[in-house]
Amino acid sequence: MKRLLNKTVVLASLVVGLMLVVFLLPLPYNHDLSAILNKRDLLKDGPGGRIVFVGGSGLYSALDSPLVEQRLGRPVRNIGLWAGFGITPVLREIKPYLHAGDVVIVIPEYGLTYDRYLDVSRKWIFALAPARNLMPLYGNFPAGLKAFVLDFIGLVRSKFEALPFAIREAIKNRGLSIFTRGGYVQYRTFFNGNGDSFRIFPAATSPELIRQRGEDYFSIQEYRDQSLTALNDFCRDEGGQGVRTALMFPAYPEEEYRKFRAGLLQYEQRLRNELLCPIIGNPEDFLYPYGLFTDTIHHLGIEGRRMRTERLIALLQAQPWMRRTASSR
Amino acid sequence: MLFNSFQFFLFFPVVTALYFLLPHRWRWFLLLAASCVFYMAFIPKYILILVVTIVVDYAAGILIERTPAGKLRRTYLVVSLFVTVAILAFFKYFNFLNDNAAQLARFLHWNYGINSLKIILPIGLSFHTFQSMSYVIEVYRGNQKAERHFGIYALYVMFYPQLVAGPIERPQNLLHQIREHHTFDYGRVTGGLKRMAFGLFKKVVIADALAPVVDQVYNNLHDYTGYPLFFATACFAWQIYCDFSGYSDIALGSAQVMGFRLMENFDRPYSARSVPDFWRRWHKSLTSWFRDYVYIPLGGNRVAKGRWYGNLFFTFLLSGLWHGANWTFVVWGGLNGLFLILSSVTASLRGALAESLGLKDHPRLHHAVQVAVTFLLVSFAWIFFRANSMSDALYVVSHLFDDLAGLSRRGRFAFDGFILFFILFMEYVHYVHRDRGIGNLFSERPLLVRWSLYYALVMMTVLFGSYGQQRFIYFQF
Repeated sequence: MKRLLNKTVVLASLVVGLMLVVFLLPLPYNHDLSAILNKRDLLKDGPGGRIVFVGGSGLYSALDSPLVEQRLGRPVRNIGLWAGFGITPVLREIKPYLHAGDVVIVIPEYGLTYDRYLDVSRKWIFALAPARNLMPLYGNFPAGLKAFVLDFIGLVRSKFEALPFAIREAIKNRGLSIFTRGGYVQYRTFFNGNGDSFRIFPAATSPELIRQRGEDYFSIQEYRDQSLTALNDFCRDEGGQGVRTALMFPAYPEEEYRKFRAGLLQYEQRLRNELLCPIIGNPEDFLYPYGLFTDTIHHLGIEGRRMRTERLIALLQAQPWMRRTASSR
Repeated sequence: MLFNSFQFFLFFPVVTALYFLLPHRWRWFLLLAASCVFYMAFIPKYILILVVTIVVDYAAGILIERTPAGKLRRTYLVVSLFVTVAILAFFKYFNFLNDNAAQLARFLHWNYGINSLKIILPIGLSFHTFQSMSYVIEVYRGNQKAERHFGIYALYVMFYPQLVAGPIERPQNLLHQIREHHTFDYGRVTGGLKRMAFGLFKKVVIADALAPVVDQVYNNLHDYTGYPLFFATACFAWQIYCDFSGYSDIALGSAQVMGFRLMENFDRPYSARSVPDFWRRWHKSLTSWFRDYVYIPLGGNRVAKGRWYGNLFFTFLLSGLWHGANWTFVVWGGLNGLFLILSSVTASLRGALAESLGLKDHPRLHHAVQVAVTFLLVSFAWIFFRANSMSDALYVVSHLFDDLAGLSRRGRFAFDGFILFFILFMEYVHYVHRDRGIGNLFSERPLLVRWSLYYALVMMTVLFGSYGQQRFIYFQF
């Protein structure tokens, strides 16, 4: 039996060893959520004075960051990727990369909590800072251990799956930089230098094609004290470091707004009463007809994207602090 | 408890270690308790069904043995079979029969007031009832002594590696093994573990990766025509094979670790050269059950030709119904029966055709053509097995050749090319081990090659396996 145990240990060590090596190598992943790593890396360079947008898919798919840069004269980073990450975990991860003079604009989608992440995004949060996130994400035994094993395997597997794409890109561009970048293997073709998605769907030809319409999932109770506390902590802490934080409202269909107006007003009122950072504009600033949305009530098409960006620029331009000179921390 | 679950990953080593540590006289008790835990991980109260079957057939076995040949002995057999079949019929076929009766009544404008029952089919019901029935029949036939030890008989029915999806064992093969003293034999144990690893590979890497492709098409049939229907059906042929033979490998491997030798259930079925050959290689324990307890008692092939074909067809219809209470399974069984009859009827015609095409001069090509035709026929029957309803199955059949490229419909599905490599790897392993079985996976290779292959197998399973705890298809039967 001892012989069997010895051989089992050797085999298990070889398996775990190879997986650890692959995990530690800066190879890219084959999953669009791994773009969160590229987006985090967008913040690693550049001086302060940047505008950093944080939000969900409604943000990354419908913001024209180069236009914002051009009009406001500040570098723009669009960190928005997917609401399933939760706003608070993303804010926590970008904190170390912010500089004095940066402005963080948080644009959470309606109906979603700030502080929770969905299970599917957990492994990408872990990948952002494995050592720091290990215990907070997987500390509860035994469910945490099972989740960790599956997530770890999932991350390594994603790197293996990315290899054919990475090899193709290396051949195409005659360079091996793809193997040292990490993040999403197709990031370069899916996102521009600011972090905006290249992929903008055409507007839906009929409201019936827009998902999540009329779903009364918006509930004021969802915005728990914990969420607001976390956001206020961020505003206060980063404010002390010279980083300004503000909140804006997401794009939303006019028809949906009319339907759930009472709840949305309650939500807005609560934010205005309890949030420590400024709120720019109001929900009505970003209401659009169904005809400008694409696949869900959160995603604008090309025309909606243009209108939303223009409105956003106008509102930001009106802020006196936006005209201040940036300084480095 | 699923073989591909985290619970089993803990359960199996603990039970096996205790098995070898305990004195021989307590091992039956350990395995029985472990089998109860294993079964109760699904729906605990359903173990009562097993208890009823076990008690009835245990008593029937003793009574039959004590009673001299005659009417009373036969009565004990009939009562035992009636109880076992009644349990199976109630849980598995009541709603099916009731729904059909209600439809017929509606058609005839009669009132029909019996509602369907809200019951969940107990896992593996058809398997353990058939195993229990085979014991009583063998005792009745005088081929097996009645088991006096209730615990050992209960373990014969409940032995966890084969409890929920077979192989359907015969008492002559399994009962005496429970009394045998099994020591820790390194070669046998590692052989069993390797077989389990290979079974897990087939299940989580191939079958579970094909499942989404098949489900996407078969659950949204009206979005597809032509090629996607062909493709999804071929994928299902491999899915069900890898799912069920993967399960069987884990079952046989886990039993082998403890020293038990269970029946082989598969023998490279898709390399069969005819449908009868396929049925000698596919789910062998069930096929031989139907052969011994239905087909031969009906007269088998030692009757007039018409009656022989009737026996074949009836046996396969029954086999279809055994799989599930749905007309799709009945048609699947009937189709296979029909293929077998046609195979016999057209034997000389096919020989002449092969001769005229010159295939006889090219044995390898002839072989390949036979394998391909058999695969197509078997896959055609799988359409009925997989379809959610008869109308779905008929849709697939009637649209297989419409818009063959399948481009006009909106349905899309993603297929990972890696799966083809994994299927080839599996077939290679089966081919290499075709004579000595996969119980000794790669054992004759040089050390470095052997370890590289084990390492590759484990890495592929870990990295490319699906761990969403997808159930085994045959658990539903």
